[in-house]
Amino acid sequence: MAAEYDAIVIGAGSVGNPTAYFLAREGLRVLVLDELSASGQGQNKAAIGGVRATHSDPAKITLCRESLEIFAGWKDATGTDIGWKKGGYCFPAFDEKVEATVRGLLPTQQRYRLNIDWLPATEIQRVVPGINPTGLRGGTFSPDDGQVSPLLAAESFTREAVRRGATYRYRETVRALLREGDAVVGVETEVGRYRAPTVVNAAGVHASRISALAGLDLPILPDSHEGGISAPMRPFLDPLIVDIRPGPEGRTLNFYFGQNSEGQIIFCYTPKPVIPGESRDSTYEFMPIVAASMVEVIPRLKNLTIRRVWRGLYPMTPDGSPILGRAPGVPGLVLAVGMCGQGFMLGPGVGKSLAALIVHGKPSIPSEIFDLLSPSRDLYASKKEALK
Amino acid sequence: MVGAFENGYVGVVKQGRFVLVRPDRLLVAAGAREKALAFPGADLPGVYGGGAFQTLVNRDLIKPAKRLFIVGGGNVGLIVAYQALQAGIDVVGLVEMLPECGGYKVHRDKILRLGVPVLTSHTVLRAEGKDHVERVVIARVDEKFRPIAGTELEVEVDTLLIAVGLASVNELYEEGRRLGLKVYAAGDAHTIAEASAAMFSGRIVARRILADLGRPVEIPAEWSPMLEMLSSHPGPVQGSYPVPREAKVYPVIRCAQEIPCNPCTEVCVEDSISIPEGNILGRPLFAGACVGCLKCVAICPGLAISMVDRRVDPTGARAKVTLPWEMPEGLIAPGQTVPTTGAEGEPVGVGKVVRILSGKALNRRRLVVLDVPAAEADRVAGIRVRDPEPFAPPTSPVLVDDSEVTVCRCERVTKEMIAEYIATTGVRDFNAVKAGLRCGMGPCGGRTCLELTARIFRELGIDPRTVAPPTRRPFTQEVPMTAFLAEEGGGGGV
Repeated sequence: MAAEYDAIVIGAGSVGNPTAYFLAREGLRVLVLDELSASGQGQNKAAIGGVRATHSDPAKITLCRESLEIFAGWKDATGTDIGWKKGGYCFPAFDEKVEATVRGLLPTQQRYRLNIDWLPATEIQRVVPGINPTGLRGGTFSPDDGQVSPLLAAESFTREAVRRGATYRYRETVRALLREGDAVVGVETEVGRYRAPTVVNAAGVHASRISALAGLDLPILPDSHEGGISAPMRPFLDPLIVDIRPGPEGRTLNFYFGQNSEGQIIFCYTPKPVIPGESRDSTYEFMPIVAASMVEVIPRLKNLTIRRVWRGLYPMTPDGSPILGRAPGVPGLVLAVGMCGQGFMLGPGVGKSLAALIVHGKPSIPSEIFDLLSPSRDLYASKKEALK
Repeated sequence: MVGAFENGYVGVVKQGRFVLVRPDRLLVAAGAREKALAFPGADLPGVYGGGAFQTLVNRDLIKPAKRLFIVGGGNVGLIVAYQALQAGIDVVGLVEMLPECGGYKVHRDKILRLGVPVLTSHTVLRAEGKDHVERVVIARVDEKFRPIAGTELEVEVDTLLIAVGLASVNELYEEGRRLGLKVYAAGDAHTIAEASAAMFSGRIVARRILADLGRPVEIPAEWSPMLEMLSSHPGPVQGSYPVPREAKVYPVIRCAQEIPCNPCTEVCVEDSISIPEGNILGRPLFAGACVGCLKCVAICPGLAISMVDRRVDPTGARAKVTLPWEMPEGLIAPGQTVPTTGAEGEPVGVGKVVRILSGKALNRRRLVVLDVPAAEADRVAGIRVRDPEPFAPPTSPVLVDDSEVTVCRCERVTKEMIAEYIATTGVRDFNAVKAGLRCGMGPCGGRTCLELTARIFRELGIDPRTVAPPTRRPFTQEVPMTAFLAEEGGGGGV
């Protein structure tokens, strides 16, 4: 006989963990399934931990504002330090094009109550000590954004969910979705069958495979990004820096770095062209490219010592925005997929809204904003996120 | 080499530059690293790895200790004890957790004869001291290796060596294999064994690489069983072959255990020493003529051969015994009376130093000629240089507090934190322990703590093989940012 739950979450990752936590907090009996051996061991741990509401898409702005609130209050709520550091995000502009892009987004961002403004070069130099003054025109700064440790956050969300009765089962791959008519009423793994009226697909880069089990064709394809981390140094850098200039030889779309709560510089870039596929083997060109880029922005970073690099996967949607909400035509199946590499910063906001949707019938953020990410939208409309 | 990357590339830091190489073949011969033990005080200054201490003493000619205690009766522990005595460092004792030392009997016997107590079925409980090791507490263990309360003994020393085994440095080999590189491993990076086995495995792997590259080389069929023999663990103690009855001058060979060693059979001018089994593992047998040339005494790495000469005293009351002698010069001198011991350090009597021989013909080893009572001659195998001191129970009660036991030194994670974390979260994944506690996240990349964490899983009743292994990523050691920068002369040239 199948074990009975109120909700099943597939994927103990950036999105699944907070979703499980918020569902358990509502009193639901929650089961979380993951094919790996522990929580947060998929792409969650590849995230660098930047959390910003600084986007161009209203839904992402709003969801990330929720995330920021949850992360910022986490220590007070649970007693657990997850490395939250409110240092803001800075998009410096070293040329006219970048200035035009980031300033052009300010009206939308401010309309959705984002605390962000354009600062002149002298102010940016104060916010980012040691920034290269050559050609610096200024930049945007959003002081309420910040950083969290993805490792500690995954662990803490899991622990708090379990404390509220959630069950985690690892090393179980979902083989089938249990159906009653059109509805999904549970899942089957190689180990067992579990029934629940609600099944949340939070399977990250495996989201397409899971949805296909319900006959849904979700065009979510992974591409890969690399990240790295240095040995710790004395704290000097508050904000996360995002440079959207093309990097050396045009090989990057943008790159970003910050100093985490341990004092380590953590960094990443968006390669150009994108590297599709599921390979997570480190490339030999990542460090030379990112090193040149970082030292260009803050010359003193040449004194760093690099400890570790890794490569993670972004579950990409055609329009670059997440797919959130009840699956069309499949009652019981809820989608929290296609985070496009922002699952970690979106996760808590998404989890909170989905829990509200599942339990109370409507998300915690305004429905008209939440529905911008609806699975029923035209995924191929040309709306592209401006700030990846 | 600091990492392996996709498409067959490896990264090398060469003169401060990050350089890429795309090798046809990659050989990992990175040797071994020492295993650690977690106990209170293990991170006190004065606690060394046995191999690290060996490097300091033998290579760097530094004498970092006066009174030494050693944990571990494998070959490293036994040999470093002997070498410390050679360097003029007093070795107060050695403990081995198992009922028998794992190292060669000949190496154990060497230090027993010199007067070093070897306590089997014992372990170290803690090291104590203010800013440096001042004393260690040891205890007997039961058959499950748990310390037995009430058996604690306190030993005043300034230095403690941990010699509890070696682990292959094979991360790049494993990474290379995972990435599909044509990668080989040789020596300790492949299998922990003696140096002779390591060198031989290098010969084999070199030929294998050449053969794989299409060169016309052969690997003789007998090489592989030979390597196996060289890498084998010592056999059970079987006893030595008996000493000849009638002879007047003859070697006494105290080689009682199968080990891969045979120089004595090769130096005998009369060809009187052989291994009946016909392979290097067997025990040597002396049969035939002996001219007393002393070559066998001088060559035996185990110091297991003495030469008895009964021709010197017409009355038959006295005999000459010649022993290898590698202790510091001046410790004994001609004319001096010295306490003699048997093979395993048991007291025999006294002998008078007649002379000390040395020279090129004697393998550059000094030999000491003793005048001893004829009846004792066959038994005399060594000279005691130190009197074992009695160890007393500690004056204050011994508390073993896991909160004091550092497992990850880089990130200062204690045994208690890890055990509690595993117990409360139920994790079965080394990466999750790392994520939650930063254990293994430091500059060393988990070289010490992973092994210790595996041991904690085992102590909690969890087979570490059921725990998901740690994910390996570049870099195997930290790399300066400048290595990657073109204007600094770095930047990934191929």
